[in-house]
Amino acid sequence: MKLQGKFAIKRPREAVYRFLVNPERCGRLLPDLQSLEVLSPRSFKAVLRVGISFIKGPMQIQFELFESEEYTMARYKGKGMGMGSFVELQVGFHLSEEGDGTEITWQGVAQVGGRLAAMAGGLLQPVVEKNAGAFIETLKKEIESAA
Amino acid sequence: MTETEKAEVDGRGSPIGGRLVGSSPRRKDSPEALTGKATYTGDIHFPAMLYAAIYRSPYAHARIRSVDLSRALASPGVVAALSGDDLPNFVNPIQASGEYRLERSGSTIVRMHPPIHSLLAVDKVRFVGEPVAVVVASDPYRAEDALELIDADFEMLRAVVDAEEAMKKESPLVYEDLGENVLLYAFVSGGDVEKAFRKAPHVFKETIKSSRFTGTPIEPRAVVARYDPGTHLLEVWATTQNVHLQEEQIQQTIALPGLKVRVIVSRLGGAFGQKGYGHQENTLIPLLAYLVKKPVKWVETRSEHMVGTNHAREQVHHLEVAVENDGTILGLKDRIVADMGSGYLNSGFSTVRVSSLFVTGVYRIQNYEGQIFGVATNKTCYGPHRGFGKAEPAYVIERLIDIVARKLRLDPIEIRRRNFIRPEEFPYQNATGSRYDSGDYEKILDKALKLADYPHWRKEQEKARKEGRWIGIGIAVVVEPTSTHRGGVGSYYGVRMRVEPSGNVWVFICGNDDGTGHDTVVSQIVADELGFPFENVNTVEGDSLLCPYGSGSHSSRFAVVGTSAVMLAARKLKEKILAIASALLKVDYNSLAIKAGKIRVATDSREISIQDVARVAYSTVHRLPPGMEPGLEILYHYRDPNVSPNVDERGRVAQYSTFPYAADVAVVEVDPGTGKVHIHKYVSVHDCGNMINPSEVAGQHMGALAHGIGGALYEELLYDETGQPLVQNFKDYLVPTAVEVPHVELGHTITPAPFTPGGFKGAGETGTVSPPPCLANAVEDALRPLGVEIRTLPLKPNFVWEMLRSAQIRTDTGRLGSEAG
Repeated sequence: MKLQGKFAIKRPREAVYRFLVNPERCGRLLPDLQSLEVLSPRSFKAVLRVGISFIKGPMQIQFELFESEEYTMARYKGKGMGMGSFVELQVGFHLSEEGDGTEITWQGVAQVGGRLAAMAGGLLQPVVEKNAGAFIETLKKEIESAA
Repeated sequence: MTETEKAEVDGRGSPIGGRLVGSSPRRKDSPEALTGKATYTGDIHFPAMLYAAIYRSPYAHARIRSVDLSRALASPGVVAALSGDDLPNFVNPIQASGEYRLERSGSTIVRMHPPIHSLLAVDKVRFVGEPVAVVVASDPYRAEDALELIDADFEMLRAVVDAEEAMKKESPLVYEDLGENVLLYAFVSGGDVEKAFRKAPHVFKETIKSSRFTGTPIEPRAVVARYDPGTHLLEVWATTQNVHLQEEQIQQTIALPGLKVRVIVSRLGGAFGQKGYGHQENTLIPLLAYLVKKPVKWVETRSEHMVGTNHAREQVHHLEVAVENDGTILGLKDRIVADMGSGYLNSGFSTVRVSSLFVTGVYRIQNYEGQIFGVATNKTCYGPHRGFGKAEPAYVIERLIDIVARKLRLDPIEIRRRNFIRPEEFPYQNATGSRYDSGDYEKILDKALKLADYPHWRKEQEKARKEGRWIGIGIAVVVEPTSTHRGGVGSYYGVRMRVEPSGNVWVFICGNDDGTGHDTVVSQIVADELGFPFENVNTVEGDSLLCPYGSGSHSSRFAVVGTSAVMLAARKLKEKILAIASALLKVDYNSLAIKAGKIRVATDSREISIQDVARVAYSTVHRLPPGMEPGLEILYHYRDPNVSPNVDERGRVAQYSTFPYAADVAVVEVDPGTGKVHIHKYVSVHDCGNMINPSEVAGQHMGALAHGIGGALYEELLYDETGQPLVQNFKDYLVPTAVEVPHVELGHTITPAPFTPGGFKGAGETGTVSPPPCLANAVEDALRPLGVEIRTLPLKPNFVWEMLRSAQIRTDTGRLGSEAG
């Protein structure tokens, strides 16, 4: 599944970047988060409830900030297994100045396999899109309200 | 309605005073099956039994980085856990069976690379569902829960899910050590196909595809095993169609000195080729029983079955046909690409190769060239399904006939008649080496057309078109060769038969009953041949220790070689019984006859019971004729005269023994708003030679038709581009129910098989073969005015609707119309 989007934040690019590369702050915004454990300055483990309807359960996903360029780009990858399934995803943020604020262009690629993919089938795409949208909205609010 | 005879019958449905073969006594196993008293493998329970659950790959193609079982092993109730790296040194990879080893060295005609694979994946996984690890626990729920505690790490690799893509150089390799994804190449030719094409006024090219689907027996696979350290005996109850081949495979894989293995089939709830002997679990569970020294049970879930048990049918046929102006077929070429998935099942190779041998179908086409490529992809393994590689070519040739008819503007019925093998040409050597035994294809087609009231429906079609309704009529005449040699082991059938002083007859056969009523059929034959009461005949099957060695139940072979063996064994035993009776009664052997368990002298009222003869044979043996061995027991092997595993220089081989056939006619109507295909009428006339039990044949044929209709209209195993199966349960895999299966008018013709003593041919698979081409022809006929061409299956509503959409001419109201009107 591929998703992308763009949004603007009324905060300087440096502040946005520092938020995005902070695993604790960024990780806490993941939808259906059950627990978070920061492993290092660039990685964390999150237990999320993944799936739809009755095909939903906890899955531990390990995230890593695997590529970053100061104030302009941050990319995470995540990998997890559970419920006879796997999730592998990448999400990248590109930052550019827009007036006093920042324009963020984001892209995400997610692959779900195993039982979850077979059971949920085509129903996963709208759920993932909804969760991505919710994450972005929350991210925007958090960054704008952050000190 | 069926055309079975209505004789006067007794309380169990047997004809009074008449022969049982040819009648339809009630099945002996019906009461226990219908009242829930039958024991299936999943019902077997032993004290202290443990339960296995299998961790399966969620990746279609990935390297295994690590499998950490520590958390699973620490879980309450878990007794053991294994991954591929934990397999003991005495466990070998699963070997190819004999029939494949012989040809493995390769030749220009057949080149095969059956992959060698492990009980659990090592280094790499190649399809979603491949077994990676196993947990054994005190109950099945703890075992299942422990799977969640397995920490496995994979490195995802690019998957290949299309066979023709997999043949390209740039495609990922499923098996790197093979260097290519083509696991099988076979070539076969007959006649002079190039000459035929040179002289033909018309040459047409077509590409026709059949989709991937599977058999879905109502009982999924299951294995129970226990090990006795005292006798070093592994007993395995498995849902397998081949007890002896399974025993051999377990022995080869678990290479422990002195290990004895016994494989027993309790009862099968359907098999259809999905319950062969090469599945990893059939050996993995016995290994676990040996390691933990307790009984272990594993029962497959339905979603496991959909990814862990073999798929079938997915092939692309690239055809060229040379025809005369009148539709006579001069020559045929077929380049077949079969998607073998992970390709680890040996029987998958045979299934694929067989497809190239019967593309000529029921037609007199001697100039033929077939090439087949069996290609590995990252999908579940390809293997047998009812029809075993013959359904695909039947679909193709029957479609091709209609396509040629359409291109030449000829009647598809007349083209069929022109090209049928004629009755006087039997036995008929087809272009690829099989000797078709008997048939009358015109007669069966005429009967089907009459039953369907074909002229009436053509008139209805004309009327309907004027009303904007899309009615179509489809025809298919198919042959479904049965009883394969299987490299030799299938070319014979062993029977042991014993008459006891109690008057009971015990018949030990090498097959097993997968719901096909063997015990009833055996009882009919033995009762007729030996003159014993039907109730006194008892059948034992599905036990590698008790029963004669053989290749088991597959290929509808029981009706061909099994019944022949039973019949001839009974006749030999009868000779001995009469010889003993003759000596005891001091009369001429030829004046004796057996009826209702008594040997009677034709010329007077003297008689002696079977029991009395048996007591002499076993006890007072001094009264036997001089030189006669004690006992009334015989081991007999029947050899099939009409098969040979020898492949000649052109790839031709006498693969099958008997050739049942069918003619189907379908009348359909396509709903233009939804694409749904409604069947107004379905007729199927079937010929399996002489029928042993007409009711059984009708039931088998009807079940097969349901399978065939499912494959034509509903069933499809879909994968996404990353190799993820999109269908793993009956919510998405649309097995037809009683709602979707139409009322079928069944008929029969009888052309006895000349090469079997009873004149029987195999039955029970032809019905899967005929509906796909019949229904495809019907739908194309219905939509002909719109120019719709059917080249792939299944004809699901969304697929038909899409075809309509791209071919339609919309009226102002948005309804579909047609220029032709």
